[in-house]
Amino acid sequence: MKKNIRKYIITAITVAAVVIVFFLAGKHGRYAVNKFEIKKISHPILPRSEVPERVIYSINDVKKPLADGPAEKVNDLESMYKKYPKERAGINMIEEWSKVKPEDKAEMAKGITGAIKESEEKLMENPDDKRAKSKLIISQMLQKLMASNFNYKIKEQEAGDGR
Amino acid sequence: MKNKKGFILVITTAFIASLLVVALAIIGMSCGEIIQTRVYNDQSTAYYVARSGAEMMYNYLKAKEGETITWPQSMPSGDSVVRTRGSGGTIVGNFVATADTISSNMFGIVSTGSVNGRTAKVTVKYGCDAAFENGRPIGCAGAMSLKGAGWWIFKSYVRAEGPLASGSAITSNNFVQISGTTLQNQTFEPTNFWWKYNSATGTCSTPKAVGDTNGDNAYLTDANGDGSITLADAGENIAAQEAFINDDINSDGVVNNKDAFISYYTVELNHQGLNIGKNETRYYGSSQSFNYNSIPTGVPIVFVNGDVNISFNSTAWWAQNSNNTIVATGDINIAQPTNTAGNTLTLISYGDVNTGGVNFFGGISGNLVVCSVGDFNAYYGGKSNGAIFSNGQVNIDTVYPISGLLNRDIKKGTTNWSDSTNWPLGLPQNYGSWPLKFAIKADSVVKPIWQRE
Repeated sequence: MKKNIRKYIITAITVAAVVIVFFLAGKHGRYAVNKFEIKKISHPILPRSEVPERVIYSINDVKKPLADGPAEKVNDLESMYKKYPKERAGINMIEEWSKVKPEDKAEMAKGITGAIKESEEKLMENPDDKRAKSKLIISQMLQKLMASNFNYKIKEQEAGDGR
Repeated sequence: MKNKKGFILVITTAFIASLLVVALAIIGMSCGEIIQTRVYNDQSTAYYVARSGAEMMYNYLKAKEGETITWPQSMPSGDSVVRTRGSGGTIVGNFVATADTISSNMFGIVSTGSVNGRTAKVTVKYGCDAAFENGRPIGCAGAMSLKGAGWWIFKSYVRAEGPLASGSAITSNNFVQISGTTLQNQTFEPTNFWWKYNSATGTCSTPKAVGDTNGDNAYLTDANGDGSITLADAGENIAAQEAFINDDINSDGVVNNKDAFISYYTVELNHQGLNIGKNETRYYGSSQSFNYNSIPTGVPIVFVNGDVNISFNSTAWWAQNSNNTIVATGDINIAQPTNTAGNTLTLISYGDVNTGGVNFFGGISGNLVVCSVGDFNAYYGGKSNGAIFSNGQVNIDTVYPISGLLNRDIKKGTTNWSDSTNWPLGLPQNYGSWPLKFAIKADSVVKPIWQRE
């Protein structure tokens, strides 16, 4: 009986030793980790509020230059917008103008007409009124652009007449 | 008994074997978990390291407020995050943080954290007043008047970025919004064109005496004190009469700033091979109407002896970095100016510069630089980035209250004139520039998480 008890004790000690060996291997061996660090990272997925903002731009992309080279001639704004990308042609004025409410267009036309009339009256009184003259010129130019719905027709002209 | 002994041995062996199997399985699972945890740990730590890097860069830039800085910026040192424990420290990870401008009033910080080969990137952006040298967004030697319009619910605003500077009073109404300083009754050195070409430097930087239009050191002064230099100031002196005739470039019987203006462009600046001298290819002898095909690609400057009307400026239809300058001895009128980023349209007028258009597609993404000896008038809506300076008055009037369409936005320029290659061609060197200081705009920041806590 005593022998059996001794064997049981030896077996138990052996099992305990094996468990201890594995435990120590886990703590100090190749795959051991800092217990403090593991505890700190309780969940690998960051809380929603802590997720960094999505990258919506790249500085290099912003600074990337457009392809150089001369633009081909076009005959009106509409063909220009069709031919060239937005970064080169700019905002499509015809498209944007078409989105303006008809009542706003009418109001604007009314305002410009009024300004033209007012400037003309001022110039009748005083032909040297520079401010009335400049307002008249700009109003008339804008009126022409509106009349063509900003689809401006291009007049051919060569630079420099050397006179 | 013998059998019993054998049975126990077998049981014990089997028990130990099963323990080993269970232990190996547990070890395997633990190792997997440990590796996975470590990867997550490194990734999360890399994020916090990147965040710390961005924060350090923010603090670094914050300390530079009020200075003139150049972009891009990177951290000069301290590119690692150290966790201190007692007197020692452990490097948790490394970061690389850079900052650069996104637009004229916004910059971004990109910080990449790295821990044990795992990386995480953090990107944040801030509104700012970028530091650079450019012209005043709007200024004049005379009086300045800013006027928006409103009726019932309809409003059109003048929205101007400061500094606004005037040699006299600045008046405005309830439909004017100004951000930045407003400087009234300032003293300005008038923009002058009495500059001679310096062949050693290749620039028009040598001052001429007033009256010596051709820079030959033979010139008249206002000897009779009538307020102008005319032939009468030469008296009977034949040499003096000859000097007067040579200096009266436009032959109008008086030597004045207009002669200097014409001489500056058609003679002095033309030494740079610009073909804007009289009888040359980029010289126009009479008033002109330009549109976007008028000026061929690659022509940086034209000279017009007269007025100029421009329906659209030409820069948007060129390659991105095609800047151009239009010089006129008369008035320049431009409706609906548009251009793309990187373009600068420079208008230099001996008369007035008048502009007007529709705000929401008046796309000045680049710059509009105005130098007028006369007035600057802006009617209706429109946008401008850049510098406007008039030696006369400034009059901005939205005329009619249509919300959105007829707002007038006047913003700072986006190029740094301290880099001489960015100085607009043809702009005389005493055109007032303005050092704009760097400042982070706290109110318009999309704050990163560490500043929200």
